[in-house]
Amino acid sequence: MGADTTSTQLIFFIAATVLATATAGILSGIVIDLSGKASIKGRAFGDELQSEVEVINDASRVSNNPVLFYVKNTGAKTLDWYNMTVLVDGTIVTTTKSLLGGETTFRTGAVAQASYATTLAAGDHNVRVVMENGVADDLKFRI
Amino acid sequence: MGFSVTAASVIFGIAMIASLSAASSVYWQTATHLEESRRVAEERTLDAVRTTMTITNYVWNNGPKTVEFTITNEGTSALDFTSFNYLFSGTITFAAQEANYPKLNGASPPNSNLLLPGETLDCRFSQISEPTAIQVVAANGAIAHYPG
Repeated sequence: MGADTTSTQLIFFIAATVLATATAGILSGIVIDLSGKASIKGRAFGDELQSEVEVINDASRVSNNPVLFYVKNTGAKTLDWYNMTVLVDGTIVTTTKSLLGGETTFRTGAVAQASYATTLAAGDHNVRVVMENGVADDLKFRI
Repeated sequence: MGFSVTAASVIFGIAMIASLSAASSVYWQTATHLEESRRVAEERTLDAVRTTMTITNYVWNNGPKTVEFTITNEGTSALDFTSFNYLFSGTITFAAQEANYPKLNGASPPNSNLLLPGETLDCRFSQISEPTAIQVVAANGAIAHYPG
């Protein structure tokens, strides 16, 4: 009888320990996973804060056919100029992008050009340039 | 049974300490990065607010086909004029200026890359025809336009 009691208690103990370990392991894994994702999100947001671009066109003298937009990196991070999204009057448009001034990267101070092969109607328009990390700039201009 | 509860509690406690330690480390690293980024963004905003440039002394020389003008830093931020962008009639140019230009406070070659508050930068560019407008863009995005 004593041996039965002892073995029963031993089985309970092992079961409790295994259960506790498994539960603790799963919960720890979840916490570490969430921490990692929070770190990634936090760094991405931090990079976005340090980034800035500006459309530097002369709003009263924007060329037409093609419409050329000049985008200057005024932030502290090098950006991917080829992933620049351009919206004209609220619609995403296809543009030919290039770096100007002999630059090879869209570093701080560099200027990228987005060429939109179209003829805009005379009047007021709006362009919005969005980079890969969400930083954006708008310019209202007149043709 | 009492020992099982104790052992389970110890296991949970150790796991919780390890998890919180990892999460805490990540939190402080991320918080530091975000604080640094926020400070950079704030400094950039303040720098742009403090920047004012004007273009004056505009002259078009039809013979040599050159345009001259003077940029004055009327703000309180120091500007690196080697990072200026110039647009003539809406078209950006990266061409070099004429010989002996730009002049910083009337002197050439400039003894500095900085256009300090109150200082002037004389510029001269070769142009095919007289531009209808001039726009100068500083590194922080501040713009000076002529005619104003």
